[in-house]
Amino acid sequence: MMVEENNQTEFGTVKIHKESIAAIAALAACEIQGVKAIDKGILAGIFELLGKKRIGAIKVEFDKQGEVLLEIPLVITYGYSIPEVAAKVQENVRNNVEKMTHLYVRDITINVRSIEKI
Amino acid sequence: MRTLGIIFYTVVSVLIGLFMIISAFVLSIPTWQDEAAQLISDFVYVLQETVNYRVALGLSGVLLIFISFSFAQLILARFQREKTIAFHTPSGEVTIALSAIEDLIKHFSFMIPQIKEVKPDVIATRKGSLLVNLRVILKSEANIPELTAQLQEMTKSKIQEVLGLEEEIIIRIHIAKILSHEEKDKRKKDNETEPRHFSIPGYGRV
Repeated sequence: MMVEENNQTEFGTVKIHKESIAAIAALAACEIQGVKAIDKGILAGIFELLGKKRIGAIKVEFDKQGEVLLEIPLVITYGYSIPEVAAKVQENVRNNVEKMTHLYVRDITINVRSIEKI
Repeated sequence: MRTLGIIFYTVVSVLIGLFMIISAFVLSIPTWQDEAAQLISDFVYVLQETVNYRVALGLSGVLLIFISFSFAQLILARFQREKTIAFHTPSGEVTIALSAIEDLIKHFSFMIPQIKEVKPDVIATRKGSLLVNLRVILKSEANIPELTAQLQEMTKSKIQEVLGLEEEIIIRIHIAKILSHEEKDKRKKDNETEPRHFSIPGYGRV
């Protein structure tokens, strides 16, 4: 996650790091009932050992137009409808990322990795 | 990147294969054996004498390992992607790992008290249907036809409810073991023999 998205203002450049967008997406996703956690993936332990902060394993990409593409791996709480939770997460993440960064979110892919009890 | 990786690995594999075939061929001809040995010793000598060649050889090794890991990661990602089911929403795609469906089955199957253990295996077929294989361990008092029907119905309705799937779901149940009374008694005894209270010297029970 080294690339940043630049916004030119009259006073200078505002750079939004991919980590920041991932953090917004993670917080927005966890606000939805039925989301237990963001799946950290198998590399999480290695990243933690290296002292690197890792916002789950959320992937943030920019297309040629500067639009945001997100991929969010989720752990869903047992008993919730996955399509409903996924749709709510997509909506909340889109709203929050667009509101906070003024970037257009083109695509949000949700990967349901596991289902766990509370 | 994936195509590049495949081309790279094909080329490297072909080169290694050719090298081995040629080596075997050359070393099998007596008149060429000396020349081959000389060539190898010259190569080793050049490596020993020139630092740059050694560095180049080492860096090539590092590069090869790095590319191997990238390629393995790509293959694993592809493998993982195939083990999911997906549907589209206006905001993007939602993929559900088949292991997540297995987690779901494990959670709700314990609602049936006669079930001791369930090992689910979920497969997404090419026709678009979902094949669920359940390996079940039962308690002895279970009525198998009733219980399996109940489990099939429950599995189907829960998957449809939680995943919102409209595709066909085929559920196969394999009763792997039925626990006998003896086994149950043995388990009970084992539990009873385990000390439940730890006494601390100098302290009595009230």
